[in-house]
This record gives sequence, C-alpha cells and structure tokens, in this order.
Amino acid sequence: MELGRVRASKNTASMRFIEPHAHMVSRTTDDYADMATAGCVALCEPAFWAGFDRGSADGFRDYFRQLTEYEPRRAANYGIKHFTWLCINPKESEDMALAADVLSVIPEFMECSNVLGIGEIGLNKNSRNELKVLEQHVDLAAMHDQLILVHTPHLEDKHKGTRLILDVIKNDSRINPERVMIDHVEEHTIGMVLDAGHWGGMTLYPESKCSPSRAIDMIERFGSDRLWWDAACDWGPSVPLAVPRTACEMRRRGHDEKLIEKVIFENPKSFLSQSDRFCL
Amino acid sequence: MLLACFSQVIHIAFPLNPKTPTGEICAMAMTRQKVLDQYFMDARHKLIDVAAFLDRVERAEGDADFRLDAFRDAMKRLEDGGNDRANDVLMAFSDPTEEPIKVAPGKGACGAWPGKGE
Repeated sequence: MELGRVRASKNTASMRFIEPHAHMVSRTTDDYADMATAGCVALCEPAFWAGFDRGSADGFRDYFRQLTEYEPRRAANYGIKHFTWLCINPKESEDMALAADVLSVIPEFMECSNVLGIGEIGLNKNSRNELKVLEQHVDLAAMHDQLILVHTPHLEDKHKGTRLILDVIKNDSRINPERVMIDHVEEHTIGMVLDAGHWGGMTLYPESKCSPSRAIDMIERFGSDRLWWDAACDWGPSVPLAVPRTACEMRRRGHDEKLIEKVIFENPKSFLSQSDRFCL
Repeated sequence: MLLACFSQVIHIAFPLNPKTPTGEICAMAMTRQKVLDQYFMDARHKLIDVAAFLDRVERAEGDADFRLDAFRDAMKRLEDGGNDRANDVLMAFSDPTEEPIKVAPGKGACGAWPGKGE
C-alpha cells in the first residue's frame, strides 16, 4: 500500500502521535498545519545535510540557531512542541577539519531548552573518516550525558554501516544502549539493532527505506517494544503525514487502538522522555 | 480439511522464525484470505511494473551494469521458502564487506553493491 493511497478512517481525527524525525526547515507552514490537524502533538528535528555542503562552522552555527530558536516558534503556532538534535551529518564528515570545527560549536547549544541530544550521527558511505567523526560524536554525547540518534546508511551501504555503527557504540562503555535510537532500520538490520539493546526507528518513505506495509510487518514479526515510525520528511520525496497514514493502514489490518497508540505515541514518548527536556 | 485450514491460520499468526522478538509479539491480525483481499492487487501491480522494467531494459541499446545483475540475483530470492524474503532481497543488494572504505567516493548510494574495484 502506497503512502498516498491510504484513506483516513473515522478514527483518524482522534489520533494523537509524535513525529520523532522530521526536517521541518525543508517544509512549508502548510505541512505544520496538516500535521497538527492529523494529531501531531510533538516533533523532533535532527540536524542533517542541507543538500549541499556548508562552507564553514558558522554556517552550522546559523543552522543550530534556526533549530533552537526559529523552528520551535513556527511549530508552536500550530500547537506542536518542537525538539531537536545537533551534529554534523555523516554526509559532511569526510572533511575532518570542518567536522572538528562543528563539534566545537555544538556545546554552545547543548543547554537550549529543546535540545534532546546528539543526532542524527552515523555513517553514509562507511568511510574511515566518517567512522572517526562518529566516534567523536559518541564521545561528545557521553561527556555531556546526552541521548543519541543514529542515521544508518542508505541502500547497499545500510547493512555493513549498521554493523560498524553498533561496534562503535558497543566499544564505548559509557553509552547505555537503551539511550540510543538507531533509525532507518529495515528487515535486514532490525534484528541486530534490537539484539544490541537499542531502540529502532522505521522511516516511512515513498520510494526507499520502508513502506507502511513493511513497517507493520516488522511490528508483527519483531514485537512492538523499542520501535517507532517516522516520516523523516525533508527536501526529498517524503510525506509528512506518513505516520498517521501508516496508523490507518494498521487499523485496516485489524490491530487494536492500544497497540497503534503504543507505536505512534507511547514508544517515542518513552524513549524521548529519557531526556528531562522532553515534556508534552 | 478443517484441521488443515486451522494450521494455515496458525502459521500466519505465529511466524516460524521471528529473529528477535522484543516483548509481546503482535499476532498477525489477518487471515491469509484477508491478506490476499487487501494486498493482492497492489502486489500484482508492482510485479507487472517489474516485468515492464525488465522489458524496457531489454529493448534499450547499450551495455547494462552491475545493477541489472544484482536485480536478477535479488529476484531469485523471491523463490526462497519461509518468511524472510524481504531480508534476503535486501541482502542481495548489500555490500558484503566488513571493513570501512578508505575514502567516500561521493555522497549517494545507487541501490546495489558495485563490487570490489568498481
């Protein structure tokens, strides 16, 4: 079932959900309005790649101000609480000098009231430099006792990259696995993520990553604990209402409301509430 | 006959090989008949699109690359038994190596592993 073809049911209006991964700097105000209408009460915006390489750490400083000052106000206009995660994305981690500069900027923003932790860090092409920058981010999170949100690589690089990421986290004894969310899991990576004691996120994309049908299949096969769905809506093909639409699909399969609410509201709330800053 | 039908439903409700269930397993809410009612047309549509894609590749001139080989290899995984076909197809497209690469060649992924040296 494709994202755009799931019809809303009469229960949709009463549904509440948390969108735990959305790049709202790429979205219009209409998207905020639609998400609020569909029942979104809070969303989390990890720092990510802008589609082009930023030229300096000052570019990131401006971006972090946008994430901690401007976007929360935009979201609040629609009654949505806005939270964020800070990092330099792995797509820009090949430049070690830039990464070092950005890592030195992050602590300036760590005390902002909507910052939940370090993310979305991880790997992109599984290179040595990306791996070093990942280790530096994990070290930063450990030093400041922050939650971690991890981006796993795309397509052919995902399985190998997920294994490498899990090794990095496992090798840092200061990190509690339950405080780490590994996002963009699919059928070939979800097992290893849950086995390692982490949380797993399924990203609902129209062309890649995970479809609503497969996301529900994984809930049916792996259980509903330590898993969430997200839209990761950004400047590419993505659907801001992917989570409520997948909830409708789950309802069409006959799953009960309690289970649906657990996946789209209670689970993200449980993970995110490990940060004192997350409150609804 | 009744027993056979019952065992089919049980098979769907409790997958044979859930790798790492965490907490309560969410028993599948649908019978096999309901799955077909709800998803057959969608899967049929996608299968015909795959067939048309392969026809389109055959009609076109010039050489193919590693992606077509990976695609054909992944299609063989559809014949696998059990309920791990999605995993098997994903693995057929995946980089099987374990060590990090020296330098990222770019930012994008193409959907299939080109193999060493490409």
